[in-house]
Amino acid sequence: MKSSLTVTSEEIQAARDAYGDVIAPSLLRRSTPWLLTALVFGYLVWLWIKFGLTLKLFARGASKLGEFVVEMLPPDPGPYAGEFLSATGETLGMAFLGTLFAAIIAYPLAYLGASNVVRNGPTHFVIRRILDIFRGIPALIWALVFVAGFGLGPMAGVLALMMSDFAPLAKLGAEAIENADRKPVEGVTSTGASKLQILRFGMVPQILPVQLSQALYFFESNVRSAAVLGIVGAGGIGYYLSDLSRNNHWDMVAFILILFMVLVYAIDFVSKRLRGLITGERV
Amino acid sequence: MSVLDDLVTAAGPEKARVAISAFDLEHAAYKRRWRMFFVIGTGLFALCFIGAVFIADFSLARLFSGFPQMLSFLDRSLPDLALSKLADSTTTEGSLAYWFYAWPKWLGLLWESTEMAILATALGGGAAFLLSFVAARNIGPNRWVSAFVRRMLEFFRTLPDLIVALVLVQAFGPGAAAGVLAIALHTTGALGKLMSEVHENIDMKPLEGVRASGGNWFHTIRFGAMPQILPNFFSYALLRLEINIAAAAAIGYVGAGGIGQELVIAIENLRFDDALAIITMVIVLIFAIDLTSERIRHRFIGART
Repeated sequence: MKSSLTVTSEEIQAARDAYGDVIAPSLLRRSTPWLLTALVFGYLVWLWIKFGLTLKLFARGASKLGEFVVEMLPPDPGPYAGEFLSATGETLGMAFLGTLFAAIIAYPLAYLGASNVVRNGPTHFVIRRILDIFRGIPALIWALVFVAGFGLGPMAGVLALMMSDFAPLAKLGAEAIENADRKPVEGVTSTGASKLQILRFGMVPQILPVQLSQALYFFESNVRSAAVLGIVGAGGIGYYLSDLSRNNHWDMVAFILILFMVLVYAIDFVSKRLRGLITGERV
Repeated sequence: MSVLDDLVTAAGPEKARVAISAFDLEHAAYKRRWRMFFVIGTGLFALCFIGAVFIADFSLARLFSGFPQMLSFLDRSLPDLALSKLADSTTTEGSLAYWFYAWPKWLGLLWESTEMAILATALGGGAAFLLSFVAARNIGPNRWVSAFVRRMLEFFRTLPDLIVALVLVQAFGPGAAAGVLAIALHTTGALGKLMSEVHENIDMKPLEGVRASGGNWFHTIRFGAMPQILPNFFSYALLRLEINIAAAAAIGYVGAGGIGQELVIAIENLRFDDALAIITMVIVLIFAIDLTSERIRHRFIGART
C-alpha cells in the first residue's frame, strides 16, 4: 500500500477499468429496477381493473356500508339474546376442545418428528412430510367434510379444528425439541438413564412449557377460526352471522359481533397472562 | 465427610442450623405453593373441559355413530377410478380426466383466487407499510396517533376475513371485489402489526444521524429506517401472500369470487366428486405455494444478511 493520500490519474483509470459498471452504470442497468417496478405496478393496476374495483363500486359500497352502520345502531339481539349467547359459548367450546385434542395428538408427534429424538433419517423425513400434507389443508375444508359426516353442529367444528391444527403444532413442537439445550440431556445420559428416562428428565421439562404456550397461542387463534366455521354449518356464531347478514338484520349482526369481540379480547387477555406464567416471561 | 458437614464446621453449628431450617421452611412453602397451583389449575382445567364438552355437544357415542355416515360420504365423493382406464379421455368413466372433467375452468378459477390474493396482499401490504410507521412506538410521529392506529390494526386483525366478506358481499354485491377488499383489510391489520414490531426493534442510530444532519420525519424514515426494514417487509408480505391464497380460495364460499364459489355450487348440487376434485386442486395449489415461497423467502433474507 502507498502511504500517499493523493490518488493518481492512473489509479483512477485502473479503478474505472475494473469497476466501470459500478462507477458509471449503463443505462440498462440503471433502468432495470424502475422497469421491474413499473411492470409490477402495471400488473396490479390491470388486476384492479379486472376485479372491477371502480370508483362507482366504491361509492355504492360505501353508501351501503353507511346504511348498514346506521341500521346496526343500536345493536339489538331482538328476542334471540339467549340463542346468540349460547352460540358464542359454542364457538368458545369448539375452540377449546379442538385445540385440546390437536395438542394431545401433536404431543407425541412432536417427539417423533424431531431429528434429535428419531435419528433414523427416512423415518424423520416421512413423518415431517405427512405433517406438511396435513398442514396444507385449511380448517374450513375439514369442516365441510365433517359436516357431511356428522351433520350440522359444533361436533364437526371441533373435529375440523383438531385436524387442521395438530400438524402445525407438532411441527412447532419438533422445532422446539431440536433447538433444546443439550446439556440437561447429556447430564441425564451420564447417570446411565434409559432412553425414556432421558426424554422424561432431560427433554420434557424444557419442552413442555414451550408446547403449552404454543397450544395456548393456537387456542387464541382458534377462537377466531371457530367463528368462521359456522358459515359452513359447523356450529357457533358463524351460522347466525351468515344468515342474518344475508337477510339484512344488521342490529343483530352488530350484537353478535360485539359479543365476539369481547370474547376474543377476554381470551387474549387471559391466555397472554397464562403464557407468561408458563414460560416465566413477562408479557 | 460431606460438603454439608464442611459447611457446618466452617459456619459454626448454631448458624448452620438456622440456615438449614430457613431453607427447609422456604422449600416447604415453595412445594405447598406449587401443589396449590397444580390443584387449582387442574380443577379449573377440568371445569373448562366439562363445560366445553357440554356446550359443544361433544360425545364419543356421536363420534362413533358418525363414522358410517362419514364413510358413505367418502364413498359418494371418491370417484370410481379404474387403474386400467386412468389415463383415458374425458368421456371414459373411471379415468382421471373424467373425474377432473372441468379442469380448465377450475384451473382458471384457481388462478382468479390467486390473483385476488396477489391484489389483496399488495393493497393490504401497502396500507400496512404506511400505517406501521405511524403505529411503531419508537418512530411514530405522535403518541396518541400511534395508539389509535395500533387499536385500529388490532380491530382489523381480530375480525376474520370471511366474516368481513359476509358484510362486504352485501354492500359491494357478490363477486371478487368484495373478496379482495375483505382480505386486504385483514392483511392490513396483520402485516401492520408485524411491521410495527419490526420497526420497534431497529437500530435507532442511523435515524439519529439523519435527524442530526437536518432531515425531517419523512427523511429519517426514508434514509434511516427503510434500508433496515425492507427485506423483512418483503419476507412477511410473501408469507402473507401464501396465507391469503388459501383465504382467497375459501372466501368464495360466501359469494366473494374465485374457486370457493364453484365449490359451494358443487356441494349444493350434491356433486361431491366434483367437490373433492376442486378441494384436491386447492390443496395441491397451497402445497406448491408453500414449497416455492419458503425457497424465495430464504433467498430474500439470505441475500441481504
